Amino acid sequence: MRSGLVAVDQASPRNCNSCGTALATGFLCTHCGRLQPLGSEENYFSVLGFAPRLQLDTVLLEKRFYELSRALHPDRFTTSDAENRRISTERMTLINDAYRNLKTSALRRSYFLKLFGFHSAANQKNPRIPVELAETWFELQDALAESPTEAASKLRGFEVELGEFRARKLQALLAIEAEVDAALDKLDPAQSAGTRSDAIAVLAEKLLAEVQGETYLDSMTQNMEHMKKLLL
Amino acid sequence: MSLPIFGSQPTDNTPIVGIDLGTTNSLVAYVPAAASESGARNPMILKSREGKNLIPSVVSFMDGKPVVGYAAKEHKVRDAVHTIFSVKRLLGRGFDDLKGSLGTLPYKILPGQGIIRIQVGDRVYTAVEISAAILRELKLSAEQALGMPVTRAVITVPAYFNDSQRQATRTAGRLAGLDVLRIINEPTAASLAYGLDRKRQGLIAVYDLGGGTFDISVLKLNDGIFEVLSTNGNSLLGGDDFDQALANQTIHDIRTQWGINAAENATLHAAILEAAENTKIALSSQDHFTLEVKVDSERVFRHEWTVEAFEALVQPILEKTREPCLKALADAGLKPSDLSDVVLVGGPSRLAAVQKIARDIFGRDPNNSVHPDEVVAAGAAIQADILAGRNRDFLLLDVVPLSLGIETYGGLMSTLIPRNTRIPTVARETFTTFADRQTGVDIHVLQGEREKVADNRSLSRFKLKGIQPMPAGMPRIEVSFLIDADGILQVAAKDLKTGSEQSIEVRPSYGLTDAEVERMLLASMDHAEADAVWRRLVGVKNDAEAVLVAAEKRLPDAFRLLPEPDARKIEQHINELRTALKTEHIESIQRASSHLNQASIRLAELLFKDVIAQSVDGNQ
Repeated sequence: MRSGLVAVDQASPRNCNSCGTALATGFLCTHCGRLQPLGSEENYFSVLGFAPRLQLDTVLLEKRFYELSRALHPDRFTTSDAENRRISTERMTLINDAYRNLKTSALRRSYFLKLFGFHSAANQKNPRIPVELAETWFELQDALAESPTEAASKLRGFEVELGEFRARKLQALLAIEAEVDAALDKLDPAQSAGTRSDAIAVLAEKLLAEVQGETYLDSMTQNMEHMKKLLL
Repeated sequence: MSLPIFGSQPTDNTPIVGIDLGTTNSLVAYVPAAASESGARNPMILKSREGKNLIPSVVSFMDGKPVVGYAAKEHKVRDAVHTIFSVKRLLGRGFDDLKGSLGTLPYKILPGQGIIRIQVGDRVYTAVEISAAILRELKLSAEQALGMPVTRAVITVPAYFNDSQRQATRTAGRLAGLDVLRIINEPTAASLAYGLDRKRQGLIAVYDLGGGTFDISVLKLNDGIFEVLSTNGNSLLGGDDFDQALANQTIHDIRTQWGINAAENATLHAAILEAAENTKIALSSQDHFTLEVKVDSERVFRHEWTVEAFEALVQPILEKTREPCLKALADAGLKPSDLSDVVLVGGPSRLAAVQKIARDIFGRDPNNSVHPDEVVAAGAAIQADILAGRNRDFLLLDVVPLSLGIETYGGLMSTLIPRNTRIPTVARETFTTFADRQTGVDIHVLQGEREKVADNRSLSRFKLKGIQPMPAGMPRIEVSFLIDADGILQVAAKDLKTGSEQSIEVRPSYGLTDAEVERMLLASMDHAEADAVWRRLVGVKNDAEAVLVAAEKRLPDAFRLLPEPDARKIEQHINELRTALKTEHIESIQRASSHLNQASIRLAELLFKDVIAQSVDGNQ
């Protein structure tokens, strides 16, 4: 699958939508007090003041979320005019959604991929059990059919194995994320605007494969938890 | 980062007050325009016209004129049929909701459809009007205390109040001559007052057991930001239930002793309820108390209650607060040990039994340093101060208490906005049609936590017309839910192919009732397992039906292209699947469906070749 890599506009100097004064912050004119309408180029990363990256400083993310809420929440504009109230609601809505989607790494990953035009459903293959886990898994299946006590002990063993496997996969995932972010850091923002980067596309494909593996492991963990409830 | 903000200067200088409209007592508070010497913007409770902090939420009609407060409370026994109390439990609810949830009341509620009506003498009132009488008294008290007109207010409601109850509260405010700038949740308001001391930071739980409702909220306090992480509750649970439990025991004892049915005598009934309330209050500060009721001119009923006996009586009621607390913690992704404080709010939190259960649930000593009766009104005043633009240090970030979604094929609720989503928010999802050439879809807006539509509350229905006729599954219909900072929901549906659009503001005239929210939540805890199985069954059935329809359509081709025994086999599997689909047995449906699929593989290959051959022919 090919993907167009959309470079996100870096904040360029703009003027107030209402009075024309140069803006100090992206959303509010300190001269006339007008809130600035949302631009079409805004995304979850940009609205919280981040470049699109898979790994974010979540402490800073929360700090930005609080700062922006403090400035833009509709409660700050209760007695303002209808237009400011509307824009405040619109901006705060986007900020809330952005924060929710960027706060956890899984949601952030899936948003990142979507933003860059990779859709995880598009090349979903029939998932197979990872070879490393296969033996124990099939032993467990056999035990389930035969003896519950045997199955319970197999299940405990499988749980440990799955846990260790997931920890290794997570390391791999984080390593690819770091690679993607590093590649993005190296891109010249001016040059990359509207162009695609094959290097990143390749990395993103790799990332996508790992993400799909994660999804499979999630459902496997769920199945296991269900079995645990029945057996233990 | 500090930013200069313009455009939100208060447009006038009339004060905005904070009101706690409680089940048992109400209060009004205000943050004075000038900050204290330390710069702190501290709220003060405004004295009532009777010179007290509390105004009992009791309305008594004397010669048809309403009297509110302690004066009315005195009439609770003397003139029980003309004296209305605990009206908050009736607000925004219907007659049918009362069954079993309310205990008996000495005043008369008229049976009927729609909103609850209360008969007082020869007049009939709604709960909104009674609430308005209380709010009017609060307004007059504030005006007297402040020496100026008061027309704007923030009013608190239980976090678990549904849309109908919130709207009813707003309406009552309007009837009382108040512009209700915001409805905020009681536990959240309490947290604002608690966090006024900026040293109080971190993760807290507010355990708010009021007269008629129980709320639990988990918040993160960070340098003036009050972020609600999750909220839960039981809107049919409160201190009133302790009174009811004591009263029911008393009624039972009186019947056993003298054969008198006290519930049929309004005055005696009111006297028993009052004695029960006094006993409860006394037992919060002493270890035994004698409940006394004058039954008639000759007989007085007496029963000595010890704290132990009282606690044993109310334990089953208190135990019901555990599940919501655990749910709220789970929704916030926290363990009890992550909390830095558990704050007790509400009059009943004075009882040792309440402190005990909170300690047991959270594994720590609860903080009962806040004033349990005044903290909610104080918090409402702080929010009023924020909305007036005078407190720029504090900000409340709130969430939706119940999930919102729409009905989809198979009678399932598809959630668009899960509970505890921060507001304002928007959610969009794309749906499609189920039947061929369908030109309209019904958008059925739902609120609740269950999987089946019938188990949730219907908020509103509307129709999106003008969909281009297409085969099933082709149209793309985008449904969007918008919730503003006031918690008001707007729903829009748009056909992405034709651009045809419909939208409504969901303002239920008769919304989700307390009893329903409660039933739904309790039920969703009990039935999570059953729901999951049912949802899976619907999914499997839908898939199998698609396989069946396709196979039936291709059956004539099977007889044309395959050896007869193979075609017969397909026919046989079609019949088996049809039979299986009449059952609710997931495994047999899946098995039959997979057999049919297997049997049809060869046919599919042949058909595919057939198509290729035809298209090659066509190209020649």
